[in-house]
Amino acid sequence: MENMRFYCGYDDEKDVAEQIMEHLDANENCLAEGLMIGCWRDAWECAPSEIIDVIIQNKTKFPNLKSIYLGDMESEDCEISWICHTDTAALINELELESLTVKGATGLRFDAAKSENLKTLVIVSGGMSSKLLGDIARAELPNLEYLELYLGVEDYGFDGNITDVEPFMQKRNFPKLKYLGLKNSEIQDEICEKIIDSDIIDGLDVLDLSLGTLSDKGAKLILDHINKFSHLKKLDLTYNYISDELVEKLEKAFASLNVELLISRDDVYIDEDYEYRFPYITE
Amino acid sequence: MRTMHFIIIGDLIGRRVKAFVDCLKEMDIHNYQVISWLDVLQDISILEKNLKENTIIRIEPPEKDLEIYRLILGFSGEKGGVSSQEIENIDFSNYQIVAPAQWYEGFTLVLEAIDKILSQNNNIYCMNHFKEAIQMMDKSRTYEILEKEVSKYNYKLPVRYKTPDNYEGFVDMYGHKVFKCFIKLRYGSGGTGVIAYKNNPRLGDERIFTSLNYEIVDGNRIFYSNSKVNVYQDKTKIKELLDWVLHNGAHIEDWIPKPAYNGYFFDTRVFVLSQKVQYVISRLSKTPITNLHLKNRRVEDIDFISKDHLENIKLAAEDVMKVYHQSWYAGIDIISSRSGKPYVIDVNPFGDLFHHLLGTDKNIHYLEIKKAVDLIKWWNR
Repeated sequence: MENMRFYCGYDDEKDVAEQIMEHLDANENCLAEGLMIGCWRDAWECAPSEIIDVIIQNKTKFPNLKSIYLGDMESEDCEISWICHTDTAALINELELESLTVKGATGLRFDAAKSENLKTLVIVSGGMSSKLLGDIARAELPNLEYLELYLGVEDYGFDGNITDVEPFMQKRNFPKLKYLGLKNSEIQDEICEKIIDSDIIDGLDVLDLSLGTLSDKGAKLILDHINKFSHLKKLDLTYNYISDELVEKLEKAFASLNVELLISRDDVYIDEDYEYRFPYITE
Repeated sequence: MRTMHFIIIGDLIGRRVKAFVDCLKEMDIHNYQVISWLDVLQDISILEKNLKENTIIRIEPPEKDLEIYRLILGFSGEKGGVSSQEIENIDFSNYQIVAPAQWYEGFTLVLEAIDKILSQNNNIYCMNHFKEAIQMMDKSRTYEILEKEVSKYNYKLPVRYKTPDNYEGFVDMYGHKVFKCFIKLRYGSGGTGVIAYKNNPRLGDERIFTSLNYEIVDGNRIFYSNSKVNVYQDKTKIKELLDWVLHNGAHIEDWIPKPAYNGYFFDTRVFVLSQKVQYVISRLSKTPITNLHLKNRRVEDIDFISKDHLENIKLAAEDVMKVYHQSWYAGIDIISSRSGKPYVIDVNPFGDLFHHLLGTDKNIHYLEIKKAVDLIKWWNR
């Protein structure tokens, strides 16, 4: 059995923790390799503490569990920035997970997270707090290969600055990282600038700076330091605010390097009346 | 048998009359007459003069010609508070929505007058049941009628909320908690005047999704509906738009989370004719408002709805038409919850125009015409 999904819909009587317990009572063990945790009751007011507790307290009954997606819900259920979370380090520390994805970052923490097993960590959010970024930066995850952080904007919880993001560009913190996504950010140009000078880029296969406010400033930096990107298999700049002229130059440059470049601007909305630029997920 | 004859009352500027007449021609039926709403409203006796035995009458709702709107407002006899002089002076060049409740009152009186004429003639078959159509055009009345029968049937209804008079009252009633609802213009059609509202007071995050907007012209706010659904978080804008809908008569329902497919949310329009489901289409949107004319996607191939859930949707739609048992057809809009419960969110008495079927063999009008002709033949057997 691969993935199992638990979800409390609009008219479901039983909340997610109760559904998980019921499944365990009926089947003794849950043999799924992945748990998809969808909307829990009143996700805009209640953190999934009970769900985390149920899983941890019954961890021996999940013998095959490798991945968890916590908060697999749509805006029709709950806006991303409304989803309440809590300290979720236990999922990393107590289980032998290889992959953890969390949607929503309000109240989310990973205090003293530590795992030899975790290879993938994804946080999808409208805004990550500097405390949360600090937790992840300090986490002991020596085998992490895939890190994707939707940093977001101030209005939805991003209260940090570039110094909060820089630890993710240091190889000593994440020595085995192959995929780094520092994305969906309102400081995307600054991130681009810092990552060029970082030591993490040399070990990456994929650099993902997509869904943010990357502009001509970032594009010029990439073109001026193109050799720093030449070893990549893929550079993801999907959804950006780069001019047509520089998009063309980037496409030509990366075609000659044999690096896959994603640079679509299909979903970008430019408001003629305002100079504001928004990342993709800001709701 | 005497010659059969169609009369279509409609808006000559809109698409509906042409869509129906094209099907008549395609079926080699040339014995038809189109009467404009303008003519009916100026002198309703035009209808009587053109009625013959074996006439099939079809009413198309007013669409784009705003002079029709003006005349229907006038038909209400000022019951909604807009005077004859004011009605005469309304500038419709900016497509503003004026006094929808008064328009509804006028349209009710027009249909009652037509109904009276038809009832005085024999061998007339009308494709619309006026009394029920009028009920369906009132969202609160529709809800009440369906709610009364809900225990007997397979459909569900969203929770209904009390409707305050204005935004201030709305905040007093609902502002203290996380609240998600649809505020619908009671007498609006389709997505007109629909506001999807959500508020999280803890985060101070209040937002609405709507195609309703306003402009200030000569110091007055002019409200209109456009084809794009916008998100507003500006408090003044939210207040102005809610005030307008609440002032003009609103129906407030719980926000049922729509299921998602490929990043789109969807509900389902079911067309029921003669108590049987004839056509099903899902309406996909990236916004909470899915109505077809708001440039959203439609998908006929509905593999993404499980067979069980689809069956529930169809049964619910047919059950709605058991409640509206005198109506020949209607379009029922349904949201299937994740557990497969079918929630009825709208009943449209004129819900048989599917733009993407125009010019194709699948146009639902062919079936309507065939069944109407068969009925007349059966009467005359």
